[in-house]
Amino acid sequence: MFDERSPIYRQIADQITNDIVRGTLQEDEQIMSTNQYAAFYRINPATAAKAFQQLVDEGVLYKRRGIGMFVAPGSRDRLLGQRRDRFFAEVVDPMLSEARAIGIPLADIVRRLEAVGEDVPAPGSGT
Amino acid sequence: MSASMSSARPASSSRRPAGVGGRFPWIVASGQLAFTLLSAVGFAVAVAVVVISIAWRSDVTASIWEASSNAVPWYAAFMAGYTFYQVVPLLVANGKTRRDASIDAAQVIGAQTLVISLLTTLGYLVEWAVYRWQGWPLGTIDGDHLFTRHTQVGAIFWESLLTISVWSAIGAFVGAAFYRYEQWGWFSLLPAVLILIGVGLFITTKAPLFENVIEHALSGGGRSLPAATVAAAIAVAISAAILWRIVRDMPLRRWR
Amino acid sequence: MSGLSTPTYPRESDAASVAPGGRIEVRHVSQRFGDVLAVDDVSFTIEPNRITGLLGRNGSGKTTLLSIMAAFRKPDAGGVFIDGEPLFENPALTSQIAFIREGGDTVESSEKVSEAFRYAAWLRPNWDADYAERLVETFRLPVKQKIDRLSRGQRSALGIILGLAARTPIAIFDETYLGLDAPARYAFADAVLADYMDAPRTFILSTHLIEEMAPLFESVLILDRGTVLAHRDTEDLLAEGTAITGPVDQVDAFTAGMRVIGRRTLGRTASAMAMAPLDAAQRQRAAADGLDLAPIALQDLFVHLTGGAPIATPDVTPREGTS
Repeated sequence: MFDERSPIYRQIADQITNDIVRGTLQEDEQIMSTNQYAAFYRINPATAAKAFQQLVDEGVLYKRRGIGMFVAPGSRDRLLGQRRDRFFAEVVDPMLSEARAIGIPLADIVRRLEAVGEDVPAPGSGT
Repeated sequence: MSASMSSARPASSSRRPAGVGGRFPWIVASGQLAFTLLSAVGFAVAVAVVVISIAWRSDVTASIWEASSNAVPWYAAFMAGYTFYQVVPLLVANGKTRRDASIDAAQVIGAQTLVISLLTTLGYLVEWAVYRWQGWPLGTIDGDHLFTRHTQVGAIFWESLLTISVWSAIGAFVGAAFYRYEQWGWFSLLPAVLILIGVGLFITTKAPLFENVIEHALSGGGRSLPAATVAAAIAVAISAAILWRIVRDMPLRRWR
Repeated sequence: MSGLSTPTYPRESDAASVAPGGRIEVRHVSQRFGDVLAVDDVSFTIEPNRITGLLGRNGSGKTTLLSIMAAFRKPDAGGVFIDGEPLFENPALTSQIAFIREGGDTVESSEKVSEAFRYAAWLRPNWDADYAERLVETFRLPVKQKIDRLSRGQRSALGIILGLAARTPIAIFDETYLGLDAPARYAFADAVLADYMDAPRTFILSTHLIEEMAPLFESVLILDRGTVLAHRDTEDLLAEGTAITGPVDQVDAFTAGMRVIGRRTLGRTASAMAMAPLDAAQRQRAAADGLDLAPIALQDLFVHLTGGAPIATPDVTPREGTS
């Protein structure tokens, strides 16, 4: 369930943000409580609480006292925006350095992108 | 502390800290008393067999019960020792202080003392009835006692109480010494013997090994119930002091 | 996944009846056995209502320390305080602690398990018989069996039930998993968590099964040779450790000046474990140098902080003739 690559609380936070981005979690929808996370994954509830706190700080979740944690309105758009911003630095650039390392010419990459990338959304669409 | 621990459940047991003495430890006492009653039955049967076998071949002329009851203080001592060797550590391991555990143990030992004394006295009465029924002579009871006849129920009971109390108190600190000091606990037998001899000057410690010593010491005479009571009280107090020195900061042994 | 239904809890909430745990302060505690200094001037504070893991090698002084913390023993020096009050022989405080050593301190082995529960009900003011019954079912403990006829795992289960159903504000478990099979260990973790979430109390678990239990621990205390090596929130401790893998020279250059607690080489590749939180700049540099960064698992951190594996790590070189 959790791997060793990053702290558990970060993995939980990532799972939640992924769910928001994919639409599995809607805005203003309540997420599982820390206790539910703790019981389900067999972890200390404080770890789940840390994940939630981080997401609250980032504006992805908000807390309703006595009720629980909810997906903040507009968080999906914000997350998508962040991911778009990071896309080139975190996805494209490493791909290019890998290509450089194994000696693939840029022209081949561009050809591939044009062939396969037809269904990449046009700029401005919200999907 | 009490405020934060107030219970919302009506059926819950008392919420006061386990440190309040005074509640009788029934669960421990009932187990031990049942064992004592069972042992008493067995013991009585054994004595009856002895009496019958003597009567078979010759005459019963002396009190067999009096001779047999020498064994009883040893039993009381071992039970008291067990209480401090096994039960007190169990109590402490489950949240009681050594002080409260010792108070619980003392209560159990007190109950045992009472019951054993009652049973001993009962034994004399039963013997009296049986001898009367069989026509055997009852006569004076031999030995260094505070009583001379089977019918002196009060004196019999009181002497038994004093004797068992002293032996129990001694057994208790010997048991504690063995728990805390393991084989070095044997050294605790030294004060044990000294106390027994000291008290024996005033009552009887009629058990094998001590008879001759006591008889020599008693040639001066002068035994009485009040003197014996004071002597026994002092002996118990000294034993309790020794016991407390051992128990008050006694570490619990490794888990086994 | 975030929308999953609530898992069932083993008991109804009755939090009002269980008092929260107090702050446990250990002040300058020392304990000597002959010439061995088992606990050496140890001081720390365990904040209330947390699950803390106590890690230490065999002979590190763990059990002695826990015995002192549970008033099973009076230390040669120093003392233990709960919410500022001295613990030893303090009835209001000793009754708050359940210290379970392996199979639990209970009635004689010749007695039945049911007798152990009878005594527990008398000795523990908060004893929850219903909870004990549910745990008996979970762990499949034969209640009518004599204690000395129990298997090792069943004996451990008895200790666990005695500790959990006592519902004391402070519960300390010392190596209570011996002999438990994996499902039973999961059941134990589940039971501790459910109990903790239902009525937050202080739990201290001493264990050798570090990786399995690590996710439960909010804080972790590492004891080594009688002294406290580390006492931190688990996440903070884990954040400090990084495993750096890559070409030997790059690794050595990168870790120069860092506190390296372990190092292995495989031919021209090296993997160094460093106690050094890395900032973004260092991470970028690592990536640029072709170094792989990974966190260090708690168990590995523990092994290396306490002096590494007993057998020296071999430098494995490829056999002659292989590529």
